[in-house]
This record gives sequence, structure tokens and C-alpha cells, in this order.
Amino acid sequence: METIMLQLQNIKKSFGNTTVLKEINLDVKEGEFITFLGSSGCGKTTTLRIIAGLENPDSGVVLLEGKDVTNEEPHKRNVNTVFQNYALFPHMNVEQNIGYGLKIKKVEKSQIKKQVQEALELVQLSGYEKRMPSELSGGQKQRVAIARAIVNRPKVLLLDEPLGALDLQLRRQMQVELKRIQKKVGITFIYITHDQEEAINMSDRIVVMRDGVFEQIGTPNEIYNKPVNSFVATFVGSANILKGIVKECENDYVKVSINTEEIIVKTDKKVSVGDNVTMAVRSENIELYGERKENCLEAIITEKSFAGGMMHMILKLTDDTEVVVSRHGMNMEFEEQQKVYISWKPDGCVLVD
Amino acid sequence: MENFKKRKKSKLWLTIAPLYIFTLIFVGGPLIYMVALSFMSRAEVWGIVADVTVENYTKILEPIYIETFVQSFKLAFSTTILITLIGYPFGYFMAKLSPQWKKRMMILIMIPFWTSALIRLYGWIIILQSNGVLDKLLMGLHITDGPLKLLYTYTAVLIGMVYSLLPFMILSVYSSAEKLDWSLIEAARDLGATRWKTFLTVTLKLTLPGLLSGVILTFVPSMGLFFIADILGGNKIVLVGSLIQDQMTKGRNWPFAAALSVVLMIMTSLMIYLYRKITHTKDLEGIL
Repeated sequence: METIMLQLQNIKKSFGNTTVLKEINLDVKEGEFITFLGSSGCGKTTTLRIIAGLENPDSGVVLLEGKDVTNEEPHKRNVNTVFQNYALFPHMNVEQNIGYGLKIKKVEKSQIKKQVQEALELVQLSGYEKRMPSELSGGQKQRVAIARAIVNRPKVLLLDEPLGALDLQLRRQMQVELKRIQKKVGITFIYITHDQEEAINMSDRIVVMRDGVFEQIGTPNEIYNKPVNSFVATFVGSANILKGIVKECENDYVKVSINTEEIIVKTDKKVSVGDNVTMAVRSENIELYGERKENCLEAIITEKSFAGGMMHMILKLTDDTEVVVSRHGMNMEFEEQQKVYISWKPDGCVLVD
Repeated sequence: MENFKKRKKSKLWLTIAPLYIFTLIFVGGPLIYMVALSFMSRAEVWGIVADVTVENYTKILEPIYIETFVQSFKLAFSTTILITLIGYPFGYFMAKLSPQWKKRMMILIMIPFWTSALIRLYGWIIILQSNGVLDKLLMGLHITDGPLKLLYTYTAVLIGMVYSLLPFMILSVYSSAEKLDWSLIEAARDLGATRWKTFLTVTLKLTLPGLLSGVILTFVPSMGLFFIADILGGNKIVLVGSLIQDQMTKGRNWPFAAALSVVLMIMTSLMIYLYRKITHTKDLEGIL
């Protein structure tokens, strides 16, 4: 049975008049890689700081291995943080930085040396012991910061946008590496990012946050394919949001009318005729046709662009709703300003709240 | 390319040349003059004669002058220690204030500088004299029974010194603490250090340049601030600074004054050198 490592129960936090966290609840399993995904100011960093003990919640409880640590000072918690700006001690070299936590705990000198070596090997920085932080590149500083936290074998490792300051290529590389490190040490990782790709690539579970609320907690697959609401659907993988009215229901299949046209959608949600519904459709799930067929919506291509190996087309429906359609490779079949018909398979979209 | 670099270098030299010339004339010149003067002899009545001698230096070894040096160093040490104890926390916590309060505190520290130091010291006479402001206050609050008679004592001079030199410590610690990255303190706490341990291993280490320059900025002047000892110490406290001034004016013995100055300078330089050697600092906040 999996054990629960960390629990957040009804955590609330305000700074002055602004409420940052509105009653959040979360259970994190041992060894899990969990990501808080949200745009800046959504409260993800505050949540992390509360777990680390650098901030106290206004109400609610933080449980670490079932023990209430809500009011425990940060140095007494078996939790370590990798800070966004690395926060390496500028007056200590790499070895001293990494060994800091162990030295504080009065671990024997030879033991510190050994563990620092192991940590450096883990982040592939062996031989950098005597370097000062000012002599390291951004990526290397990042590795030292990770090593400095991991060497203490914390129960939970908190990472606050650790790759935010790195360039794209290095970020991809570090993502793979972080995942490797996490698997190797088996420590519970709580990771913060605003980058949905990063979240999907690395996490066991993702927590989508907005305005101090957890919008959805689930595996990357659930978040991507079964978003609970239009916010999650658009924030993760930028889905198209379409509104319509339920015309007919039959088992799991629902016929929804959008403007004057109709389209069939499969859902396990309970809906009845006359309901207003919101659909989230991924741009890659939309089919394009040159002529009208059944189960289609009329649209005009307003813009075409090629990016990241994908052809992106922006379409306008008859009521001016914008829809983005993506295709792999170059697609020359349709031109700008051309009238087209779009459709998707019944399970190619989800009904969201 | 090589040529271009060379030309650039010579241009650079030209731009900083005035600085060297200025330093040479206004710092190097007087210094050489002072050292030369210290090997001369005083004339019978007035001025100096160019009889080369080391007598001025051997004279310093007389017990009375040695005693003066010892007393000066003692006062400078106590002043610096007191200023560090008051000024370090002051400057540190000032750096933690909101920008608005920082500005207000800065103004409060700067205001005294707009008044002559002498006038401010005369203010201290009114406070410290027998049955003065301080005595009346303490007796009124029944903390002391009789007047403390602080004026014209060692304590009065110490108070005057601390008062005059404290802002330098506050400001140099402040400028160091202002640049401190507070996330480092959080990182230390996060890695298991208590508040006190964090202070010792991170905060103090990183504000050390400010503290050190503050120490030098208070220690060096406190060796020479003769007028504080004169005004608040009466004639009871004789410091090297006052001795030099007396030899220069009333004593009319310029060569001896110069010799005293040279010795004082060498000793303070030595102190700074040792101090930096012990604390392993290369960059002091703005000075040296």
C-alpha cells in the first residue's frame, strides 16, 4: 500500500486584503512527482513556502508523514527547497554549499565529504568541488542547488520553478535529468512550473491552480484528455472552447447545436435536452473538409502559420468564434480565406463545466 | 588589432592621469613633507632647522608619550567595540525596513551632519555636565541619588566618540546588508540552520565587508579626534591626536608633531593590515 507522505488540509492564506490560498486540500504519496501548474500569482509558490515552513498558513494543517508540522520552524522540517534563484551561498564553494545542511546537523567530516561526492555524481558535477558559485553557469548552479537539497535526504523536495531561468535546450535536458534523479533517490518531489509541457513530461500527477484554488488534480493524461473545466482545458494544451445547447441525448451520445449547426459528442456527464454545455476540443482532433458533410460546422480560414513542425490554422465560425486547427507537417490543401467544414469524432472532445 | 588595443590603453591612461596627478600633489606631497619634517630639528624660537636627527623618534619612547599612545589605543578600541555593538544591529535592521522607513531613518542619520561637529559636542556638555540634563533626568526618575558628574571624564570622551563616529558604522553596515539576498537566509533555514546559526554562517559572513569597513572608519579617526577629548575630557584625557595638535600649535615643535604623526600612521596602518589578515577580507565596502 502506498503511504501518504504529505497532506495539506483546508489551507488558507491571505496577505493583507488579498486572499492567496482559498482552502486547498491535497494528499501527496511517498515517492510521487507532483507538479503545481499555474500562471504567476496563482498561489503556487505560497503553497510551497507553507510546506517548507517559510510561511505560516492563516488556517489549516500541514501533515508530514501524518505528523502536524504546521507551526514547526523550517529548520526542524525534513523538507528541503530548491529555490527559483538557486540561492547558493556566494561565500562558499560548491563542496561547502552542498555540505552545509550536513555540517549543520553535525555529521562527521569524512561522512560529509563522501555524501557530497555522491550528490555531485548524481547531478554530474564531479570535479567542481572547489568552484565558487560565481564561477558556475546557470545550469551548473541549478545542479548544485539540487545537490545541496538532495544530499540531506529530505522526505519531500520542493522545487520552485527550478528551470525557469535556463534556456529551452538546457531546460529539456534538465527535465530528463531531474526525472532520472527523482527515480534514483525515490524522494517525493513537489515541483512548481507555469510550463504545461514541463508538467506533462515530468509529473505523476498535476495540480492545476488558479487564483488560490486547485482547479483539477490528476495524472497528465487525465488533465489533458479529461479537463474538468474550460480553464484547465485551455491552460493545458490550449483547447478550443465552444458553447452549445443539448438537442438530443442517447446513452452516452449527445447532439449539441452550435449556432444553427449540430454535432455529436460522446460524454459520460449527465446532461439533458436544453442544457447549455461547453465543449473543449483539441486543435489536433479537428478534421477539415472542403465540402459540407454531416456533423459539420462551417468556418473560414483566417490565418495559417507554421511552427514547431505543426501547421496551425485559425478559423472563424459563422458566429465569429475562433477555432485553432493543427496538423503535422505542411498542409497546402486549404488556403487562407477559404470556406471549410470542420468536424471531430464524438470522443474527440469533452464536455467541461 | 594589437595596435588598436595599444592606442586604447594609452587613451585610458590619459583619462585617469589627472587623478594620479591630484593624488600625487595633495596626498603624496604632504606625506613626504611630513616624513621629511619628522627628521628635522626645531629652531630655537620659531620654525625648523634642517639638522637631520632621529631625536624626535627616540623622544616618543619616553614613558609619558608611550602612555599617551596606550591611552589612545584603549579609547579607540573601546569606541570601536561599542560602536560595533550598537551600529551593526542598527544598520542591519535598517536594511530590513520598508523603503519608506529606510528613507526616514536615513534622514535622521544625516541631519546631525548639517550642523558643525563642535556645536554638537557643546550640546553634549549641556547634557553631561554636573546637574545637567542627564543628571536631572536620572535624579528626577529616582534612578540615581546624586549627580553623576560625567563631564570631563573618560566616559564623557567615550560617549562623544561613539556619538560622533556611530553613523559611519551604521551606514557601512547598512549598505552591506541592503545588498544581502534574503533568500539565502531562507535557504539556510530550509537546510536546517537555526536563526542564530544562520546569522553566524550566512548573514554575518556576507555583511562582513560592511562591518570591517565600519570598524576601520571608526577606529582610525578615533585615534586622532583631538577636539572631542579636549571639549568633553577637559585636560584630563590626553590622546595622541591632542598631543600632535599641542606640539603643532602651543609647543611650536613641528618636527616632533610630524614624528608623532608618522608613528601614529604606521601603527594604524599596521592595525588595519593585521585586521585584514585575520579576517581574510579582500574587498571592503567601498574603501581600501
